[in-house]
Amino acid sequence: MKILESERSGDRLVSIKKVVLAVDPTKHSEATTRYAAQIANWFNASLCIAHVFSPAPWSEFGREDAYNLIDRQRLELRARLDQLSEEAHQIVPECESVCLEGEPAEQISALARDLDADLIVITGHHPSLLARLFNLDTAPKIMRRAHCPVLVYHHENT
Amino acid sequence: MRLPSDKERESYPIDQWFDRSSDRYGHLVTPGSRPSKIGPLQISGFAEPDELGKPGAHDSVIENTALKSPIRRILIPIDATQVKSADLKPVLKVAQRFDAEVTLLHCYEIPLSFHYAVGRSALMDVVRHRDLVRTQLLKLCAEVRMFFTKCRSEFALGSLPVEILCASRRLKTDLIVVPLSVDFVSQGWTTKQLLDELVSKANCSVLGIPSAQKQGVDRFNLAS
Repeated sequence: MKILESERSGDRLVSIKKVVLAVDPTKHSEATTRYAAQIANWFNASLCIAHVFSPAPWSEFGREDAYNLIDRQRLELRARLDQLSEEAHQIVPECESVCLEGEPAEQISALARDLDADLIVITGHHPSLLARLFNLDTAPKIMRRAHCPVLVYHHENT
Repeated sequence: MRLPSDKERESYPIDQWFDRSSDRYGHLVTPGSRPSKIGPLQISGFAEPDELGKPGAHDSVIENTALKSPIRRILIPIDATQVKSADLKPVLKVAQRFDAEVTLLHCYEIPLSFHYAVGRSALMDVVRHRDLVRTQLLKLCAEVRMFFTKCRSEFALGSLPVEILCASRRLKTDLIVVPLSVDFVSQGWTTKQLLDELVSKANCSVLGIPSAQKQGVDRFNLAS
């Protein structure tokens, strides 16, 4: 086993000042938010709750109805994200929410880099065989791209 | 807790009166003293304080959140033959911040060179090598205990991810820490593959700590 520069990245982990929580507001998001808020609170860090909205590829070729549907989805997710942010605010005084658009792993890692985050918290799922074969799970992708430590939270029901 | 009368004691065995289940730390827990679940805390539907001066449910939730550590047991898979106590210091600092217990797990795999060993001494050599690695693990654990007392070690035989997952379930750990800067000497697994396997199969949280070299533009090239 070779030790490269674990000390440097480890020191970064010790001084956690900013936590980015990547959340999908539709699945187990409350438990993950509470968990991330507890972690942030423990370190007296600020929390940024981020959701990446990725519309279906067919939407580019859709009619007006399709655009309206996507807008409605976007608004609903935004409202849900605000709700989660309010809940997290009960635990962490410094909390904000961000809604992004694009490829989730790319956007989250870019956000963490821009904010100079010290920790990313994401929800882990137990993917199906097909999802693993086609590499559809987001958590490992974020782990490979992120510059900071990534904590994958497993909810009991996932 | 109400104690059973003599008559009740005769008609029911004592085990029915005392729930002899134990908590995660092996402490005997009776129904009256069962600690509240540490997991997700309720923050919706707050109740108003019943009387002046008494804290309401909201206050107690915030208080619990502030006092209870979200992570109490940490599992760190290591290769005891290569890791030094100084290498573990950053992770141990985090464990200290969480007031968590740390278990160092070494999963032993017979080196490939031993596969070609023949003769009467072959088995003895394997056993001797295994004992040597185990001694190194114990030595490392003893060194770690010099500055972090809540540390213990486990020695396992078998496949690396399987043993990590088994140990995690057995010990009921809250977190598995995998430093990506560390290259495990395993015959079938790289550190990244191991991390992917743990992320997809573990029942607890998994923390991947990237190497410092990863910081920069080249991290985007690592994407699958």
